[in-house]
Amino acid sequence: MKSDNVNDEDTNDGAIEILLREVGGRDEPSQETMLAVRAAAHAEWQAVVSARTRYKRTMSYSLAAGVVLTIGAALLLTRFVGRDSPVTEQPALVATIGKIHSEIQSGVAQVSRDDGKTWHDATTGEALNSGMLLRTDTTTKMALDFGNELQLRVDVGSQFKLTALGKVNWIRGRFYVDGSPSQHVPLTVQTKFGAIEHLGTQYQALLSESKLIVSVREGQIAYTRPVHIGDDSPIHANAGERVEFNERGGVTRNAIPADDESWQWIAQIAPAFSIDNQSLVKFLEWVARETGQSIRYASPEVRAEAEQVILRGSVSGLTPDQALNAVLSTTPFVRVNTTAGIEIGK
Amino acid sequence: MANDRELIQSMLAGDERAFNAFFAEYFPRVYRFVLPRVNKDGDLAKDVVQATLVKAIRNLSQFRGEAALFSWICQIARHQVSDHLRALRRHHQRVVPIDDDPDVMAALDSIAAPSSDEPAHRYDADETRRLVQSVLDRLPNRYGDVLEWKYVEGRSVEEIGQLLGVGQIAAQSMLARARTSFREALESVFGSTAADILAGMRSGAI
Repeated sequence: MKSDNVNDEDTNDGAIEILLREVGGRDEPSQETMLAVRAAAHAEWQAVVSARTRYKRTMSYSLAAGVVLTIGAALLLTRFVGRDSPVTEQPALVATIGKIHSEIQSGVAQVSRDDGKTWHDATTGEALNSGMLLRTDTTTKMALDFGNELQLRVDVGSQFKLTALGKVNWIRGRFYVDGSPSQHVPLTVQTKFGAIEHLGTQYQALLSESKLIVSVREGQIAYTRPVHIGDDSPIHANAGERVEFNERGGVTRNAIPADDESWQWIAQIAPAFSIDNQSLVKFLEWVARETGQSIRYASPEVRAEAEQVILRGSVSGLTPDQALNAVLSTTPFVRVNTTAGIEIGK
Repeated sequence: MANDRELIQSMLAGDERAFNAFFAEYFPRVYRFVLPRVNKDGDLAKDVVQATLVKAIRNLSQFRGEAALFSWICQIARHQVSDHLRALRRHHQRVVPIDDDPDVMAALDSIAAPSSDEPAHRYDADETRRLVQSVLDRLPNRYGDVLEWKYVEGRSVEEIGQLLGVGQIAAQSMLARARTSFREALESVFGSTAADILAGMRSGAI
């Protein structure tokens, strides 16, 4: 009997092998899918954990706030001392690093305090002074906060110098400026093909060897040709325009939609939207602004209901589009992508 | 199920390794669970899996351990599939996979704790293929992966050991346990042996 059982088992094991070969391998999700889902799941997990340890976190925040206040006071003191000192002019604090995102673990953004002689790896939250040179490698992007909701996002392979408060000298690569429409904080970006000043806007610019390409998503920019061209009359570009400025001062205009693919690189370094206690409508407004897609509601009733939904948790680490999916999955609302944008329905 | 509860406790305590283990264990299985239910639409599957895992994580503290964690997540996934399909109205034809049949669901859920009175069914070759894959996904302790590595991908025991981070003897022993577990699960779900299932697939139905 024992011998028979063993034989039966052996036969069955052979059948298992053949059956599994016949059935074939199971479907595997793509790496892209895995990364997107993991980011959403991780953000939700962090929100759950932080909610459970809220008391501890509150205590930590109190301590952290004390440290930040101390650092802030020290920086202010440095600025005042610098301003009053007749001997040396101290560099001004002009921005902080809001976010760094790299495709690979060893990717870096770097800062130089001595005009490129030495470099150190940039860190999130790092204070940046006038005179500093910054660069990103071919896998890394970063975002700089200038205060009052003005942000500069820097694409991979870029280099630039913070020349003064509100002034940047762009050397190579691509950047995106996001200025709040409600308050104008000046920022002029100087390039070898002219200077760009934002007039309450979202725009991006790509500096290549032979031209400067500026695309405006919202608001307006003013461009001034380089001094050697001998024409300093400003040229304006408006939302929906893509303008090329060449080395001879020539200008070529084209149209560009707000949700054009060329805007997609900015999503990974979008500032985190704090959803806690915000209405769903407010969150959707942020998504619309970040993605360039218009948000429509299936009916006025749906909008009114969305206004009543108050969110909690965090979407930290997610791109705006991933955040939208994650947030909607916890509500009765759904998204439908249409040619006109995103429709929110039930 | 004690392992499920331990995993959840560690996750809720903020243990990053527990989160990584949870995601590695359940993401591919939930994806495979969802994909055939959304007509193999990869983008939609991604949205549904994301919504499912987000919802599961949000409600982890409510998991009581009455069913296996995977069964509990699958229940959330079923609701998400319905919600997404209804909202998108993308699919005119409702897909009802064979493993959503109540009897089959019960048999699959019983893999972690087999019972003896499972129903016998007749399935065509495609249904059998899907069910066998579902059985692999329901096996505990990565047994499904081990069997697939060995018999589908043709990896050596040594390679399997390296993938699992264990020695060759431990991998051999795990492979034997995986075969036993799979054999029992097949009998629980199909009411027949691997050889009979194979014969049924080849003849058209079992």
